[in-house]
Amino acid sequence: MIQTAVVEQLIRTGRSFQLVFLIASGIAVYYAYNVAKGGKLWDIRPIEALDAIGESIGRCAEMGRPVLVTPGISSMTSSSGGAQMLAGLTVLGEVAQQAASIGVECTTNSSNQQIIIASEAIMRNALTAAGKPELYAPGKYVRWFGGGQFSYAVGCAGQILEEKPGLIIFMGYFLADTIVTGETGARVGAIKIGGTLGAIPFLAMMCDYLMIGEEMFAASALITKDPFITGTIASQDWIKVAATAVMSIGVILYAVGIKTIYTIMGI
Amino acid sequence: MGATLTYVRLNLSRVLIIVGALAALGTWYFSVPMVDSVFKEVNAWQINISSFTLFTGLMTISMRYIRAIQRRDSDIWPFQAYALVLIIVWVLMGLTVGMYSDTYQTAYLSTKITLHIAILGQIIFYFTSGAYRTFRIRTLRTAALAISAVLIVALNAPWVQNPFPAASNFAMWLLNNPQMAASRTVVITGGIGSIVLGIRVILGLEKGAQRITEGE
Amino acid sequence: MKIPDLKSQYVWVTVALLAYIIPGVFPLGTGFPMSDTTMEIYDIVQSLPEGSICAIGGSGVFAFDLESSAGTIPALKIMAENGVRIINVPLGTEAVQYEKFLIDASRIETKYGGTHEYGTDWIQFPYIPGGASGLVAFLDDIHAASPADVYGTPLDELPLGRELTNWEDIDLWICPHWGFPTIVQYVTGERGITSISFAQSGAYARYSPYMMSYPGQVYMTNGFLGGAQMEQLVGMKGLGHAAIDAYQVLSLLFVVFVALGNATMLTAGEEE
Repeated sequence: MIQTAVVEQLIRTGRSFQLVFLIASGIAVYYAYNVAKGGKLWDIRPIEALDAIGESIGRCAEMGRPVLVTPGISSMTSSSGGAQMLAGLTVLGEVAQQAASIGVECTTNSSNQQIIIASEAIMRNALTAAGKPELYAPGKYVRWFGGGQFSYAVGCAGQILEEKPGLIIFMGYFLADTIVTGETGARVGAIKIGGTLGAIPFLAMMCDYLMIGEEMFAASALITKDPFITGTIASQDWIKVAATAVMSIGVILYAVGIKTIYTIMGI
Repeated sequence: MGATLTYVRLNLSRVLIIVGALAALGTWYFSVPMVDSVFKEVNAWQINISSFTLFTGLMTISMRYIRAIQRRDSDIWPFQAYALVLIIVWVLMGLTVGMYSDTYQTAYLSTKITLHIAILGQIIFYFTSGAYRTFRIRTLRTAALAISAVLIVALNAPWVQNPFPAASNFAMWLLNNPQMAASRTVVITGGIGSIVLGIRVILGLEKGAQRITEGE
Repeated sequence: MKIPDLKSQYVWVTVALLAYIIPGVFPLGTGFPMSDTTMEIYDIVQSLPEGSICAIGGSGVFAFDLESSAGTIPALKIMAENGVRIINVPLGTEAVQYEKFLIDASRIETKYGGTHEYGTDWIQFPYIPGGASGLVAFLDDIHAASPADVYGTPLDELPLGRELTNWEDIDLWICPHWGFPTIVQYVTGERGITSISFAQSGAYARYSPYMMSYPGQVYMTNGFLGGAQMEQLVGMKGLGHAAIDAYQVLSLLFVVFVALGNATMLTAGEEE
């Protein structure tokens, strides 16, 4: 009884279930990673948009047009957009490396100073990894378009009209700015690939290929082609199945008047 | 010494990430005063570092633009000069007259906000031309996309709601049931993906984070 | 017969003429249905007793929040008529200007011949940073979170400021921006204060379930349509009415262009 009281005081009300779920998720990710290290190759379904990235970079090489990767308008410390921005920056690094290895220029932009600094580091690393460190120069590949959503949109649209990229990847946190940038991309005939959590309707309208929800986080792992990192996608599925099971069982039990799961989740 | 410095540089960022993550998670889940004070301290550092990146960004942009203006090897150097002048004017204005002064507020309202409103007003042009280009029915999926888009726009329109008042109820049903279910699915799966991405960062597996922190 | 694919410039010119220029010069006077929720909001605002305090806060981006102003301005007029006092609590950087714009646009201040005097009937707070934590700090102790108004005058020197202590002094919260979930959580959910959002239509679609979660405590109107409904209830014609005219034409154009795009695709296919 005393131990229960101590636990109740220690853990904030309503968050015990969340804490258990988070710890279980961490264990699942670490387990999946270790299983992958042991040699297991998970069978991940193909994400159309990812396959399209590789083909489109090749198309850009044939046409002599650059690639533009936009990680969005948020900062990395934002609670709503930080994770999406990081996924976008991972894709930026991989795409920049792939593009540089076949002689295609990759540029990026942002509205946030943290992302500018991170993007510069990523471009430098990507070019070095592609064996072309001499191509890097500060400011050559990363553009800044002000701190606001639409100052960014207008600037990005201007960059698209100027550079005429063959491929535009919208991967990160976006809002209505994608309406402007996506339509401008269509005007220059670019292939557009998008992935976000928030402004999915806008990206669905503007992009040729779209990654919805967790696909963008899976893509940021799959694009590295690292089997260990890819293994963590399996844990994502396990967690999703567990969450779905808890929700489904909880809803059914609640409907028949049993509030056990509802009560547990509220502890 | 070089190897030691490299080791510290590589691992310091990971240690900082883990400390920051544990502090934030600790204060969210546990009501322990010591954990709260650790988080407050870490959060204060985070706010200060974020503010510092603003100055770093400002200096980076200034150096880059000044170099480009001196060389004049691209067509956009006049715009870069204009941007630099505006940055200096706004910073000086904010520092001298204050952000809440009538001068600053009037200038802000007449420039940034007015331009922002103008751009927002233009979105509908992009939106309509995008709709004309995108909502073409070739497959079952594109049919579902096109029909749902047209339904939501039309059912909320006065020219449908006036003769058929039940249209707004149907539109709300569409938004509150299938749309809401899909939105929540995206939010839940996106949240799970964010958790897994965060754990990958903490374990040092996330390539993007590695590229940012590891340098050359 | 093949229908040619329209260039986007032609789409733009059509939209500009039919949805902007013509309705701007010749207002259509479009009718629109009234919503039960908007009428409930009107009743709630109308029934606030004289001397109540209404907080306006949660706004963040001026340009977006203009859509909310269509509903907020009529609500301010009702409150001014009934002697309800107003405190503006900016939780976004542009919110200070937006909230001052609301007061100016509603013409409730004494300098426009209205009833509300600054310091006695309304106060503008400075930007309160920190998002949710800033809001909670403000709700728990107003003087500690923001000891002076936006002009630097200590709250103790303002008649209305002297009466403010914490959330218990606030009778209603109006939120004009997408920050409404934060307001619902901390203002309504944890403290039981009724909250109203004259929401932008995109936010309405996403946040309307909050009305189901907190029946009788959380209310939302739907974008410019909701604003036009509030204007009609108050007996004024403003931004809401103007926007409904534009939306009438634009929604029609949207359907026409989608149909035209499909017709273009079909005829091109037949030709081949």
